[in-house]
Amino acid sequence: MLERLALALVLLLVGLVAYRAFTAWQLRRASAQHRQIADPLLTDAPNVPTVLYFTTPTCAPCKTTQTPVLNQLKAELGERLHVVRVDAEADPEAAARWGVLTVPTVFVLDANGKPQRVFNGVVGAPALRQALQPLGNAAA
Amino acid sequence: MPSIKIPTPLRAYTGGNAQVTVTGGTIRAALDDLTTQFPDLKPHLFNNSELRSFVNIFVGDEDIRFLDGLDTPVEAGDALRIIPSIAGGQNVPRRVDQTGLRVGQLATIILLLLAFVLNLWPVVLFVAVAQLLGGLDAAYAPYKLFYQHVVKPRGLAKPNLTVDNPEPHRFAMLVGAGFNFAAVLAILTGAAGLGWALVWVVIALANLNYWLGFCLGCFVYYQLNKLGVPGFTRAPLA
Repeated sequence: MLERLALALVLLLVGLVAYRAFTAWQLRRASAQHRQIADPLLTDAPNVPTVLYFTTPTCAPCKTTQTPVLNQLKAELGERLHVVRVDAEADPEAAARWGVLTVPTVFVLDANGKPQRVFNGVVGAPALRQALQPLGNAAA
Repeated sequence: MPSIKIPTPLRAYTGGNAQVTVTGGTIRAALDDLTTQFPDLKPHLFNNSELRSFVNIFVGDEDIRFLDGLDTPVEAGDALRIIPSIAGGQNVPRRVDQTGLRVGQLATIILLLLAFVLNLWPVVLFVAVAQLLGGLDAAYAPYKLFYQHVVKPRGLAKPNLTVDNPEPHRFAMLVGAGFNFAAVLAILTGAAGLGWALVWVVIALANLNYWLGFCLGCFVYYQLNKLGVPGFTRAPLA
């Protein structure tokens, strides 16, 4: 039993490490893109933190949970937060550029458009507020 | 006393009454009183003693499916509504309790991990049966009973009703059940490595759903709907 317990813990740890490595890779890739070119998704972004939100028409958690959370944050923060919504099915090149594998995926960018955090899957308002707080302009 | 609002198609059986006052401390008792007052209504609401699938009963804004079903308590002054599903409405969305789904996912993760650590294939079989019954939306599905009679009454989790299609989630449960049944078969026929690997696939997918909100089964369901595969009739919400 102890062997199986150890194996289970190892497998769970491997899964967690793999996920962390993936999000770190996503952020590095997005940051590298940011350094090289101005992403067309962000050309109209004002000088405030931005949430870049990848979704698709078939994504039910996007509709039922993520979109309402982002609407709520936008209503709270107004012009202190810029939200860019991307249909990953309609713009697969943008999804590939940002390393998006699943939806919803939410990137939090600072006022200069540099990626700071990435959330794969639904992210709630408290976690997003916490991610935005250090970026200034978008006070929690 | 509680009252029940009668939809237009059923008013022919209530003497044209759009609203009927009833007695009873539960939905079942209230509907029994309604059908005692208007016996012609009964076959249109019930199939034997079960509500017909297209009949939706609301207490205020709450669908009784997400409360205690026909055993949902009713108080004096409650406004009940009978809302028939629209015939031919293939894309009429209903509400899904996301918390109930998450409780099921967490239960699956915990039970399957326990099963693996303790090398207990019967627990895998139990999860498979639970997922099968959940996928078939059976009234006595273990996860549903656990959520309705243990989690909710004790306030362990707060219901989160959202407009969503239940069919993709049920399909995902059936897929999980399939994997787990296959796992049990593999373990019992000497392919334990394969069997437990299948269990870990379900653990991984349940974790993906629980922590990241990504339901692979739901994704597959909607892709099959897009391809027009028969039986996958629910399109994504507009």
